[in-house]
Amino acid sequence: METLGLLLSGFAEALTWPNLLVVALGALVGTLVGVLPGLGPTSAIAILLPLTTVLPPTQGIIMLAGIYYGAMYGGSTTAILLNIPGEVSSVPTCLDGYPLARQGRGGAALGVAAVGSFVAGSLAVVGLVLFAPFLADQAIKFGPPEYFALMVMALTVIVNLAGSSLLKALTMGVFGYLLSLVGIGPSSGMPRMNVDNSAWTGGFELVSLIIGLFAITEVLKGLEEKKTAIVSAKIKSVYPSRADLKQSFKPMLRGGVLGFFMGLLPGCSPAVSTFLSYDLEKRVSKHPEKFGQGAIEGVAAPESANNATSSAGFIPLLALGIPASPPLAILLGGLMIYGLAPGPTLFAQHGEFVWTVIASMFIGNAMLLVLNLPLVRMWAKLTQVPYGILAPIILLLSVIGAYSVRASLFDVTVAVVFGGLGWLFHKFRWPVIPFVLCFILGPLLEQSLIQSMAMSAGSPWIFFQRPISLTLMILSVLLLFFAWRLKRRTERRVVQEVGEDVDLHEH
Amino acid sequence: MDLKRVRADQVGGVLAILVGITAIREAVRLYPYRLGTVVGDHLLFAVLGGLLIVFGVLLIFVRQPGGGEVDWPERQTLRALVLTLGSLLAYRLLLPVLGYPVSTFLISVLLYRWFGSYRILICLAAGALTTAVLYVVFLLWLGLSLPGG
Repeated sequence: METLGLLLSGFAEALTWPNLLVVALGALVGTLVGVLPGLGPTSAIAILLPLTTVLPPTQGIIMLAGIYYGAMYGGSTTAILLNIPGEVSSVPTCLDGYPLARQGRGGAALGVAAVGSFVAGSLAVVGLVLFAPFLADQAIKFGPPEYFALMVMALTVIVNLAGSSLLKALTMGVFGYLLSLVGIGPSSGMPRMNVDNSAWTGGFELVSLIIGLFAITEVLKGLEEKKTAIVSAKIKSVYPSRADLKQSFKPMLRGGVLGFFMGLLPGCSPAVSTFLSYDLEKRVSKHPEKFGQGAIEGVAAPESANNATSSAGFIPLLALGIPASPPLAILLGGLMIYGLAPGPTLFAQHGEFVWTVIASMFIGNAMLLVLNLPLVRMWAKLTQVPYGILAPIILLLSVIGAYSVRASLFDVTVAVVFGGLGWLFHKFRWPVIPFVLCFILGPLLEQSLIQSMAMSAGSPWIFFQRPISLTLMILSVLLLFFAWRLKRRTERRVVQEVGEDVDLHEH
Repeated sequence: MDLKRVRADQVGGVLAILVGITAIREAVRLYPYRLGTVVGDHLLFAVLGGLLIVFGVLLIFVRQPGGGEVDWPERQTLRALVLTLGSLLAYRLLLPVLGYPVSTFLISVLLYRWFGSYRILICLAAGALTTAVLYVVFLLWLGLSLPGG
């Protein structure tokens, strides 16, 4: 009951005019960047993240939530209209969305995708309301060993983000941890790995790394692929018919519920749930032969599952600090920038703030529905912006973004260098998400490890002697196994549909 | 050892070992400032350095899936890639000297020319427009402080 009250006060705060404006702006800008050719949701959030830093914390996070949903919707738009999935999780949407677009029913497909996303997003908010009190009760039981165990659990995500080689992913993760240690040591106060350079003493800034590895790298990849404007399919009607909605209702619910529960598992990528829900829909359908030819259920189910997993992903993200997908990993970075460390104490210490953000996510979803449907034609036009115009703008925005956080030219250099490195990592198939994730989690991992060791006089058994940390350690092993099995299954499905081996988190 | 047969992942392995050794050296440097034998800023450097060395050795000796041939772009594209990164670094150097508006104008003209191959007049116009829009949005509207030169 108390949670419901907190949610309602969150809605009261989120529904103020300035906050509504920020959500709307975030959703619009997120969609705008998400639909631009070659930019998936991850890159879109990475490019726009610095823009939010000029706002007060609550509005900044609200805008980020808007950008997140907008960018996700933008990814669906390119998947349906252009047959270009922004991420692997959008591949099932392409399978039926693009055939629908070619039949002139792209608007209906986009509409169903938006409605499905809204339904699934709403389900996830209900889930958060039910789950949050439990978390708040557990929060006070968390000490350094429990936090360390939680960080270990977060590492299970790496299996999902690993790409083709787990060893390379682990190496990248360790490299990310190492880089996060550069700067002043927390217990000695000594500069660490600063190569006798004062700029290094302040450590590396997350935003500049993200901009380099995602935004600049994306431009370099585009240069290589010689991207040109793509002609999209014509759109007749932008609104789904009543029959479309009726036909999609059950697939939306099925996809939403499946996606929600998958999203609760720390480390479950939306790609896993979209393929699972597409397969499920095909199995329960009376006309499975229509799938792949333009079945509206083939859009409704995976889109709902995608959004439900992404929304439910906020539960392990906010409650445990574990991001399930690359965009959520970037979002975690955004939360950290505002000094908001996700974890069990978040709901207890910043309850009002968190519930405002959750309410804004709900409003952001509704806003997408209201704003984006009438704008479908405009989004379709935007997909035709020539790369020769887009690339310089992205690069200039990247430089401003990297500079703006600390007003530091060192951060610009870091962004450019990591832009080049990101391209090399892409070429040699070294996954960058484990690197970013570990860079984000590094300081918390170090702090909890040192404190735990101090508490136990150097004995690592402390992690196995306390009930919560022991449970988390056992859960980590189970999740590792479960995530690995699901990943293998999804990879096989991707090969079936795409015809080649694709990294599930390719952005 | 035939250098042509060295795989990219093996080079990655060697680099991982080198970074691992650097991390362990840093742990040794920080050890005197410890709070206890395994309590202090040196701890994670030692652990991560050790892990990097182990992973590096594995990368050298165990062939990784998906580590096949790298599809390099043609020479012209590679040149464009290097020029793009070079121009961004030049932009970073010009910013404190010429200030944000002038350096942004120069670099945007250059980038439009490279990426779009547009005529120089169009590049000049697009560069001026981009600089003006970015100036209004970031400096005047959002109030960011950018180098004045």
